[in-house]
Amino acid sequence: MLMRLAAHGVCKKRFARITRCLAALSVMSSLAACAGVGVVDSPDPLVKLNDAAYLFQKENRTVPAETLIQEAIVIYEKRDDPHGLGNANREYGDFLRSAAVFNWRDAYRRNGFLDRSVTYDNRLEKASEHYLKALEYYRLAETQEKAAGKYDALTNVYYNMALSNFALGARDEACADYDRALRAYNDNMQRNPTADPHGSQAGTVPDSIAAAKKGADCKEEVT
Amino acid sequence: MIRIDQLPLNETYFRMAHQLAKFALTFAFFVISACSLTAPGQQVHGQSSGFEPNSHPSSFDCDTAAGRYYEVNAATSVANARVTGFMQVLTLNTASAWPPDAGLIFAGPSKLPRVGLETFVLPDKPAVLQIAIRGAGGAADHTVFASVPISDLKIPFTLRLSSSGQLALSFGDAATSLSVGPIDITRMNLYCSSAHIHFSEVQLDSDN
Repeated sequence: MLMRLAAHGVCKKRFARITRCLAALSVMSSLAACAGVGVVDSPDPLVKLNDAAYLFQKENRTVPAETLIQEAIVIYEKRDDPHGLGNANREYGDFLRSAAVFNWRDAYRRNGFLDRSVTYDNRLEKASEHYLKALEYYRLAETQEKAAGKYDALTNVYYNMALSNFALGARDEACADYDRALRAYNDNMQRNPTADPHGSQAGTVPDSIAAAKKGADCKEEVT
Repeated sequence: MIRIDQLPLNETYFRMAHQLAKFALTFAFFVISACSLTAPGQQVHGQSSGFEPNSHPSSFDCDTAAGRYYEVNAATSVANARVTGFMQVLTLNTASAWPPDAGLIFAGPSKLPRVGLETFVLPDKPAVLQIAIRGAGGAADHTVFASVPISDLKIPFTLRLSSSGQLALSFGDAATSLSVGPIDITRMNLYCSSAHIHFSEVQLDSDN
């Protein structure tokens, strides 16, 4: 009887220890799978960028947002992907100019950013540098996409160039980029009549471009 | 004699399993609720107002969540009204379709006309505060006359409305004026939406 009770006690202690270990392990693994609290990590850099944009635009959460953008930059550099690097640099510019960074100004004044060359006070100049860098990468991507005849990707490149130019206050260049995006879209549809490119909340790709041009106060393209 | 407090082995394991199941459920709830934090939420552009006759607030801390609106009113019917004070941006909430907005206006007993200062942040220019003068024609009747980088500096403002209907506004180093016609004003109104704005040293008097 005593032996049985002793065995039962040991067994119960082991069970409790295993339970605690399992609990700790599951909490750690859940945190490891998160890019931040509540943010499921993804190896896809585009998902990282989309998550980052949501975090700093909608949730005022700058720390995981900046981490995700920097992770995306590292992945795109490894892949030598100029289109991705253009997107990542443009988004870092958006991040530095965001209201969320302003809201956390005390923390950024005290601790700085992950990119140590950025300070709270020079963040707007640094944002412009990142938009310029994005444009350089987009031009590189433009050359590659043209050579490969990828007009769907080219549409996207021009659209993103427009956003970068608009962020830099270069409205005329932005409007010209929107027009080039529309031409690339039309080229793509001529070459691939069955293609079904995704638009945006504004509608089809031409609808989205028209809405963006209206937002940027562009004139109608002279044909 | 050995005292046996232990439950029978089967029941003990049953309780352990029960606790384990409770833990698993709690953990699942934690993971689901934590990971759903990124789900977009809906905000209502609500409104609250407090009309305070014969009170002239010298400061007003206007703190609103994204998509929310808050205001304070001070009764006035003076001719050639003049308001001076400082405005300070503390937090901007960009999580809703309603961009951060704050201002100081003269108004009558009705909702319109509302004339005066309107400041806001455009979604595609989040680092810049747009400064506009608001005319008598409604919400769309505003003209941006200056913009300043977003900062937490206290920015001085002066708003004057002459009895002939001439509206004069200065905000920081920028100034403008607008003819809004004769308006029967009964109140001064300070408001903000989707932002935390601090109005301080607000003085309402007459140019007479």
